[in-house]
Amino acid sequence: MKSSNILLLVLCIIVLSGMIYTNVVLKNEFQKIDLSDNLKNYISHSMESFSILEIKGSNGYPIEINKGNTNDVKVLRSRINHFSQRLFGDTLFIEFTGSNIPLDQTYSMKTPPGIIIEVESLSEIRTSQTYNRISNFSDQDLNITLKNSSITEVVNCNLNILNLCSNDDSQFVFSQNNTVHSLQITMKDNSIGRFEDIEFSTLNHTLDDNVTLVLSKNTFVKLRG
Amino acid sequence: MNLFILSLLIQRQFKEQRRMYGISLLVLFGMLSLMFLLIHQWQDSFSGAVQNGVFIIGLFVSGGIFTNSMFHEFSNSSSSIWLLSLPAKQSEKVIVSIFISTVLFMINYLTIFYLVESIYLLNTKGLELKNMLNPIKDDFYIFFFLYLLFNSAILLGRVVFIKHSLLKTLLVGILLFVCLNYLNNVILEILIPNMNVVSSIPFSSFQFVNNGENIHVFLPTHTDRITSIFVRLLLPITLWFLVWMKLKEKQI
Repeated sequence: MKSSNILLLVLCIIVLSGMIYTNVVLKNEFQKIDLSDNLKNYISHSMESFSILEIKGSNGYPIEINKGNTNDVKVLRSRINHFSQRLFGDTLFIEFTGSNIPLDQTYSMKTPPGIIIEVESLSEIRTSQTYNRISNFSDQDLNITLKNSSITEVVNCNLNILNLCSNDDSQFVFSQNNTVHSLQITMKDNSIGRFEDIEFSTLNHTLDDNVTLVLSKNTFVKLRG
Repeated sequence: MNLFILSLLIQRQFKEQRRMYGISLLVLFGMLSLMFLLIHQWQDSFSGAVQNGVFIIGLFVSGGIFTNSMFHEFSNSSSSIWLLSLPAKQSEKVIVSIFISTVLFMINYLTIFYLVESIYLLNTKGLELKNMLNPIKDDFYIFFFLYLLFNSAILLGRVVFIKHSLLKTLLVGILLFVCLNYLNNVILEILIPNMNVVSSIPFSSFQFVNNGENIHVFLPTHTDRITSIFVRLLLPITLWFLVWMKLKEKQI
């Protein structure tokens, strides 16, 4: 037998053995998954407490930021290689890479959340180029800064002061039962703000000439009155 | 290994193939331009990282054809004798072929790609750095390593098959890929019975369905690093080594 054929045979044996070995390792990983868990498709990372959250990356998968009883970051298994985090002081930096989809297609997207963040206490959220859903924050102040075509949905929040600053063609929408005592909005560049479901007592705003506001009837009537 | 001989071999290659390389660069420019034109024409149908898609298709199509032009003398018995009897070691001939079809090809490919992309962006979104393809972002550089594996397979096919080597190599490659995937699924089903495997990537991950939900299982970081080194570096190096052995065995 030629020496090249012997080497080829050895290579085939190594490839087959490697395949069996990696599948045994994958089996062990599979056995760690609790199939009865609703969030079995997510890998959980427990965190030290943080009060500022800075996320940048892609808008291909929504990022959910929920008020909860623990500090925990869950990442969709299929996106684990696109996720990195770093805690510096009281700021959690998250990078969530991936391709970006056009902004007009973002609202209709059906993909599951790429990251689910549960946090005990949060005072500030800064996002860049991501699609975020912020929900269930109540009886507190919150600062939100959107940059680089970020999209943020605020859902079911009851806040004292909300300071929202939207830059670089970013978009935000208030949907489903939001109450804010003092709403402070700053919109720059070609930002779009949708006030679908929000109650507020006072409103302060700084708006650039090119911004777009979409108002529900209730919000419109309130602003006129 | 003699650097002087290596440089002479490179010079010989370029002296003999100068005309074909010039035309090939123009064809590459035309092919990439056409692909960018198509994605612009049907931009509603393509979303996400379309430039990445153009880059990968262009890299593997042009890289495969170009790599196959190395050792083209073997398709003719008289010229193959001439190539084998060139006053240089077979290892030097292999190294030169690898250098030309990976390093020099990649430099030219990147130059042409970014030139075409710049023209495309200039006429569409605007020529800004943020709009251009970033090969470092999102692990995209993996395709450069996969190109090395592809290159080594095409070179091996070139010295194994005398006629229609590219077609035969691609056919064998596709068959091997399908068989390996099938075998991988069989091994997984034996190891984890009663599980509905949707897809699997050998040496990397698999996906299964549970209550209508697709769940991915990946290798742990440490194992993944070892398999990545094997697939991206050790496998191409072994195949290049096999090219050298096959070439030596052809020696009269």
